[in-house]
Order: sequence, then C-alpha cells, then structure tokens
Amino acid sequence: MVDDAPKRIEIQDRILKENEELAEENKNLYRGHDIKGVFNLIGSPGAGKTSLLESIIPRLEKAGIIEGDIATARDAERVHALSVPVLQINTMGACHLDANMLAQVLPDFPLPEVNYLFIENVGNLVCPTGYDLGEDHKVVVLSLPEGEDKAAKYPAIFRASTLCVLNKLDLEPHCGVDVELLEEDIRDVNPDLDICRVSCESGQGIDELVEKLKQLSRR
Amino acid sequence: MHEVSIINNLIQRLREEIADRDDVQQVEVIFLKIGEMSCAAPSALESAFDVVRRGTEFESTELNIEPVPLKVRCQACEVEKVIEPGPLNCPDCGSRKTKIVSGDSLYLDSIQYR
Ligand SMILES: Nc1nc2c(ncn2[C@@H]2O[C@H](COP(=O)(O)OP(=O)(O)OP(=O)(O)O)[C@@H](O)[C@H]2O)c(=O)[nH]1
Ligand SMILES: [Mg+2]
Ligand SMILES: [Zn+2]
Repeated sequence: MVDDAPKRIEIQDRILKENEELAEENKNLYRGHDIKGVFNLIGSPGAGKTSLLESIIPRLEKAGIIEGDIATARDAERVHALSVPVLQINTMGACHLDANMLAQVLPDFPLPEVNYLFIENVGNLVCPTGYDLGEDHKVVVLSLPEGEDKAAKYPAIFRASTLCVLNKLDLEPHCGVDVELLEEDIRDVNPDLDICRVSCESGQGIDELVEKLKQLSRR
Repeated sequence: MHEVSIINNLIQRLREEIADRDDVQQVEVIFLKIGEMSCAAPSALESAFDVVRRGTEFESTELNIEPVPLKVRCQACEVEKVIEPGPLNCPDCGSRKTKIVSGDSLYLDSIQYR
C-alpha cells in the first residue's frame, strides 16, 4: 500500500542563513586586508549619513567609502570630492544592501589602500537591520528632527548597533526634542550603545566622534 | 519592502533543501517562525509570497507563519517575560540589563510535502 500521508522535513534554521555566510566571507576579506574598522551606516533618508562622511573622512587616515543607493549616484558624486576610494552600489530598487551585493563589488575596491571602510546603507531604519554585510559595527544615525520616539518604534536597529550618532544638534532649539530624554529612551533599548551628539552643520562633536570611531577600530 | 527579498531567500533556500531528495513531489506547507522584533511583518511576508510564488513550483503551496513574541530575560531578577517590542527594560524591576531570549529572528521551521 502506498503511504500518501503528508511528510515533514524539519529544517529549523535562519531564513537569511545564506546572507550570514556571505557576510562572514566579506568579513574574512576585510580582515585579510588588515582593515582596522568597517562601519555600516544606517539611518532614515536625510538623517545625515553622507554629511557625516563629509565631516569625518578628512580627519581619518586612509578611509574608503561604499555608497548604497536605490537609484542615482548622487551620494557617490558628493563624496568623490573627498579624494578617497569610493564605490557605488545601485540596489535596483531594494531597500537595503545585502552581503551578496558587497561580495560582488569588493573585488573592484582597493581594499589594501584603506584603514577604515564606511558603507552608507540605503536610507531606511528598518530593512538594513537584518542584513549583515560583514561589518565590524553597525552605526545608527538619527537626526533630532526625526523625533524622540524613534528608538522605541524601531528598537531592532538600536539594539543591533554599537554606536549611535545623534545628528543635527544645531536644530535642538527648533525641533522641540529634549536630547536628554531621547538618550534615556535609546538606553532603554540598548544600555551598551555609545552615543555621540554631533552637528555636521556647526562641526560640534565631530572630533569626539572621530576619536570614538578610532577606539572602535583595531590598532 | 524587504519582505520580497526575504521570500526570495526563502525560496532559494527551499530549492537547495529539496534538490537532492527525490521523494518530494509537492511542497504543501511552509512553516515559518517570525519574531515580533525581526523587522519583518507576517502580513507583508504573506503578500510578498503571493506575488513571488506565481509561476514557480510553489504556486499552490501554503505559507504558515507563527509569530514569535518578544521575550526577554532580566539579569537582575532572573525573570523571563514576554514584552512588546520597544523599550527592552525588565517589565518587573525596570532594569536595563536584559537579554533577548526569543522573538528577534526569522526562522524556517519545517515543510510539509507529498
Ligand atoms: N541643520 C543641519 N542640517 C544637516 C546636518 N547634517 C545634515 N544636514 C542636512 O540634511 C540633509 C540631508 O543630509 P544627507 O547627508 O544627504 O542625508 P543622508 O542620510 O545621507 O540621506 P540619504 O542618503 O538620502 O538617505 C542635507 O540637506 C544636509 O545638509 C546638521 O547637522 N544640521
Ligand atoms: Mg546619503
Ligand atoms: Zn528584572
């Protein structure tokens, strides 16, 4: 008699396992080239990720940038002015970078020439969180005008990051956000998160941020 | 939006899983466990699956999603509690020293097939 009852295969594994394996390969590649720190910058559209790069890159010895954008090369064109290696990934509509997109372009990037690699993810506070790129640190960029409730509303990215940059500090008097309260809310989600308050407009806090990035890097 | 990517990853994963098994004629149900703090919404995953499965061998496959509540363990009072995604303090003593026990991952649990 033929047994026609449905059968099961127990898999019990992460759906994004392939991305995690590719991220591990990317990480080995970065390590193999002695890169001191690889940072994955994540934040909403307009939080100031590109502006931050413009502020910090001139203060770091041998940095490189990979720009992720849904369309256009505008951010890549902006940071070309910094005269460091820049590579653009066009995600063709995807709302996040993934490890495979990085794996595709890394052979074309002059890894031996950089000490610090910054990857600007697609402007989005949600989707990039689950896709490891092999970075050493996720850096969440939040600007004050986005409001006080962001950590509570998007806890995953604040939990997954090692550093939070609070940008647009110069706008504090204008947007009715209490930075102390904001930081308290962030620490309720992740008490271990380092927080740097900066303004790319006035330059306030940028030196401290650069120091923090160096601390987070390998010697 | 990235639910479509997740479903594409899932389908690729399933194809690899069943590639070297000749007893699988039809995958009837895919069972997922989706954490409430995993950044993927079950309803969005279902819509994405509806679109992505068209014209594939999974056209008549059912997607069964079990939401996994977010559970934290407090290191101060050693209690495990289910909480809403948001502030991750211990709901009992307010301590910030909590570890996530479950509810932050995307899991492919099993498949039912004939
Ligand atoms: N007032 C003020 N404006 C800022 C600051 N930092 C950035 N901006 C402005 O905010 C806008 C967006 O900045 P970007 O650096 O392009 O933001 P982004 O995060 O790279 O944006 P996407 O790449 O589109 O996701 C620009 O008009 C910047 O000039 C700041 O510290 N203060
Ligand atoms: Mg930008
Ligand atoms: Zn407690």
